[in-house]
Amino acid sequence: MLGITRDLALRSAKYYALAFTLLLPLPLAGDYITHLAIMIMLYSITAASLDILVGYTGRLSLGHAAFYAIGAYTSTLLSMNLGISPWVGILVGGVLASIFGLILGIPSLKLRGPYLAISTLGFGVIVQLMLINLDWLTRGPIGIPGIPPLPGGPLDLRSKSSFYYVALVLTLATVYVLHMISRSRVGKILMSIREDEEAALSVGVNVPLFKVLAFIISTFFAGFSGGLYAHYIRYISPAMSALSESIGILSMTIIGGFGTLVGPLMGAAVLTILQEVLRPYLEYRYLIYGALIVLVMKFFPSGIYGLVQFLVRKVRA
Amino acid sequence: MAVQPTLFMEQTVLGLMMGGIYAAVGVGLTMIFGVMKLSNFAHGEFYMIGAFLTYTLVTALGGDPYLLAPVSAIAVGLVGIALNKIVFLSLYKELREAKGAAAFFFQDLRFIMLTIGLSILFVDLALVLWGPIPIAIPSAFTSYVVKLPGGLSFSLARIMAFIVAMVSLVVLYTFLMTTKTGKAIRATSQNPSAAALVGINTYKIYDITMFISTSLAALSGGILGPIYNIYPTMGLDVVAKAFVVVITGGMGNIVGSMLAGFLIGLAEGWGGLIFGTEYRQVVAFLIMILVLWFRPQGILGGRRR
Repeated sequence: MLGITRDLALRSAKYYALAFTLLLPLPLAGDYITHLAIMIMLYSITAASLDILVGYTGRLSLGHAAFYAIGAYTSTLLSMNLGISPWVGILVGGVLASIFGLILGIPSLKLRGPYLAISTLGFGVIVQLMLINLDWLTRGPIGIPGIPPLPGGPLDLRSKSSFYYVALVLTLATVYVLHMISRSRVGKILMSIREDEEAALSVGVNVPLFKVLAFIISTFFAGFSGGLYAHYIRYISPAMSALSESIGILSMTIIGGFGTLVGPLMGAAVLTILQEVLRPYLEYRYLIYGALIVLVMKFFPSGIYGLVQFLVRKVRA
Repeated sequence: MAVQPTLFMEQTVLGLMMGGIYAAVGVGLTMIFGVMKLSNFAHGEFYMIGAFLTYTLVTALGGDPYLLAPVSAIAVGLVGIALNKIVFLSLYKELREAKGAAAFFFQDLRFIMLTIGLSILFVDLALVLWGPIPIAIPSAFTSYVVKLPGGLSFSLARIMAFIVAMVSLVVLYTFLMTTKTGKAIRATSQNPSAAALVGINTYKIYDITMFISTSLAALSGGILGPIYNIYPTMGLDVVAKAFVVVITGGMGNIVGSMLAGFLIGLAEGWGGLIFGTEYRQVVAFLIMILVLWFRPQGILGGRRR
């Protein structure tokens, strides 16, 4: 078992190294492209973290942006009020998000489909209302400006190109960790729960434990990416936790192709770029966005990744 | 915290009136879930489109929203049928052939995402057609104020909205309980394959259910237009509330949804008094969480999770 895992690790490490090398010179293309690439990477972490829940465990979440916002607010408040290093802050943000994930995960153990979707949606609404109304802590709807950047030692992480490399390393590291989790015994168990919970129970799998574990892993990385976002954009507001934001992240995971980890990265890239391209047609932007989701769900439910696999197979044959 | 009796009475009546609307929107949603096993996240957008269509009819033709809301409700209902035929029909057929828990999860997810996509699409369509600025539907009833005993006064528009919601709920209940089509809808909800065996055309039942559900939502939007402002994203707030109503009442349970609508409306009115109006939304979700913990089948029982 360990041998197979190591073999897989080596094989996928090769792909990650290749991707890393290819992406290295990107900041040469200018600040605008670099900014887009950073946004894609931050969304990739969030979308991939949601995939552990949706794609691997079969639990739909419509409140994932709430965890993202919890991470962002935690790290921001720690660094601005207590002077704690943002590097520590983003980890604490991830941990706090996963504690909330645990709290939400326990009652939702028994819930499925629309029930779980609505409770996660409700959780998102409650978090957003808290961020708006606890204004002594969060400054309410106006949000928090002037968040300190990540300290980078000799590197100035205010500059987009320096931040790009930090984001690249962290994104690849996160995706690699998520990838290893999904390929490990834990990932297999999660998938067995998605496929048939009763069967998993009958062969002695501790189903509740693994369901909660999926929540903890998934929400940790969502909180982590929220913290990164806060110290990159350096402004946060309760709008981060809005339902539309959760749906945006879910769209990336699902349009990209869920249950694959690579799919959500593609989804993040395609939807972020699409948003930019459609910016001149501002009022029709979401019309196209919505139509795209409908079309993918109706005709190509395995998403962009599925489409790519299909095309690759066609070309090879 | 001391609560003034007049304020308490006012919030109680307002809560019950709002509850009537929640019930009407929730019943449509629970019917779609019960009959078609479809969680329709675009349900709130039918409510929104109903409101805007009523507005357009009122400004174009003159006349009162309480006369024209039913017209726009029927139009939106027809859109619902068209959507059902174009978008959902092939998915139902796939779902019937699907086997195993994973396949069901997958279809469930597909339905949810598909309707979320539709919701985004409709919101933007409304934004393009009617603009982002909240507008009020003009109605003569808004300016009449009815004085009730105990120092309470409400606009006639509010009372009209409540009456229309009540009448439509009673009509729907009678329809489902007494007519042949109503019985066929209930049969399909209980067991689609058995219903098909005894000669019910279930796909036609799906169309009728979609019509009832969407037109009820549109009617609610139209009759609330003279009281609250209407805007493209108004459906998003309502769909969350409607799902709370549906879960509290028991998924697929029509009477449960009617009761839960009033319960949530009332709880929001009182919750607003106790915790402040900014936490009204939290009250509804807290009730839902409590119901899921202690009585997951809903207050009157419904489909198992």
